Amino acid sequence: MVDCRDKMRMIPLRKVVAASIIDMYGDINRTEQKYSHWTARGLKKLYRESLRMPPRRVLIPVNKNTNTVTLPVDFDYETFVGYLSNGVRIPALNNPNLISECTIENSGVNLCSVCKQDKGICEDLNISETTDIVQIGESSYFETVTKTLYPNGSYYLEKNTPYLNIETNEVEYSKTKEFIANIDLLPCGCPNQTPENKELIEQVNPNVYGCYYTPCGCAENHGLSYNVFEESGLIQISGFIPDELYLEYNPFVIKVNGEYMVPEIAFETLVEWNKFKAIQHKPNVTTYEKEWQKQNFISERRNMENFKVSLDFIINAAISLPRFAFSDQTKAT
Amino acid sequence: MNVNEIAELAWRQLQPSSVGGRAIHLEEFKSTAKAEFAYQTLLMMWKEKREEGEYLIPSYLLKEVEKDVVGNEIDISGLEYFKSLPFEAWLQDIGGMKCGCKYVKSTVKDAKLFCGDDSMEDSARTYYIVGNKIKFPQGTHAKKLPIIYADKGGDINGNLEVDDAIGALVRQRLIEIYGGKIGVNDETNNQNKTN
Repeated sequence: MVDCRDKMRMIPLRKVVAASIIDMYGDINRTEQKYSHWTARGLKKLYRESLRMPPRRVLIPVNKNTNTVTLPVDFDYETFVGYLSNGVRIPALNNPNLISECTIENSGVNLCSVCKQDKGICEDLNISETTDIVQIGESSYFETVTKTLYPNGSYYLEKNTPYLNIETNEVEYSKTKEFIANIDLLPCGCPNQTPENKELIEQVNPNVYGCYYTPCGCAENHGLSYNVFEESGLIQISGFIPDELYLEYNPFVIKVNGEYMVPEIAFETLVEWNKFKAIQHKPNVTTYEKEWQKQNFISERRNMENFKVSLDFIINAAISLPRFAFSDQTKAT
Repeated sequence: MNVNEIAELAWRQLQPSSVGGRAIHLEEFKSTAKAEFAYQTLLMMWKEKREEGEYLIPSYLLKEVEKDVVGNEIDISGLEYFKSLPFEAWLQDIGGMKCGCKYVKSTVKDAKLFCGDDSMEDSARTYYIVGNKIKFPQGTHAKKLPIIYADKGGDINGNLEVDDAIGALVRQRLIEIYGGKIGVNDETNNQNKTN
């Protein structure tokens, strides 16, 4: 991979087009559109296979209603997410458990139209059944224990217990009803979300309480946290919500001021690429000539890839070189 | 020298007497000369392209005119452009040489193929020619646009100025075409070539 540090040394794509047309003695009026198309394709090919995109740095406004940020159109992957404070970037913590409701296609949550609570709470409180197996003789029967929430908030425990009727010698069921508690209900029939009511529900029905009122295993939130949803083009954030999110990311291809920019080191490679594409499928061009032009492109690309060697690479290479110790005796001989 | 003068020169060379009732009328010579001029220009264009790799339209043929854009179209029916040039090379530029508004030549076929292609600058607009109209599928930046095109080379009298070298070729071709043709009988009294 070429380390494209010189992000400032970018030249407009049209200069590659012009150079290609000059080399081919082409008529700009006939070839400009095609050469632009080939150059853009070649540029994307080089970015995929050889070049590293210089990162982009953007400040994006946060949607305070949904706590989301829209990803830039050329977003490939993020290298830093956070916010700025007095010219210093403060990082956000990546929280993969963060969910964006905007990305949920079918949440399956049926909300009460009045109080917007999950209706599942009411439904699960209303009929909450457990069963036990009761052995009568050689057969097994089920004893059902139902907790039922009545519209007035009364919560009853109803047991349906099988027993053997000695007179009829048949298994019958006895029903008992035991008052448990009175749950405070809203006019819509949903439980009131007061701390006392929640505590009561926790006592009388721990399952419902655990399902609807306890947080679902989240990581501790230190300040700002985020999660990226590429499929919907959003970043979900939570915790401290800034006005603008600072994002550093690698883009697909850079378009600056409405035109594609080409790294300078890729200039000759793309010119040779264009010249190759111009004759690649032409019927009146020999195979030899096509192959020759293709090799020119490959050669320039190799030069491009070998051109940039990072200082770190040089230092590491120097460190890893074996050192030979020469003794005085060796020197004397 | 213009084509009419070349034609007249060749005509006089073939039929030196200037009295009327010629074997071949001068007007026919002129028409042939115009056609031959277009053909010789094309041959020179191909020759230059073969030897130099490119052909540059002579600057004396280039003209610049400003045209109104109506409904994203420019009507060129009034232009006397050089139709003989292949690949519609007669149309050299639209929009002028200044940067900022860029117009890129296309064709009907390419306009369909490159629909949605974002390789060019966002500010670039394409155009293609259909008959006597230049169409701009993405619109234009202005309501009037300068056009640089290759004119036929005619002056206000309809005389086509030609390059001397091409003029010589045209004259030679006229002599080759018409030399040796048998003329009509001399109808004038006591007037013939031998007298």
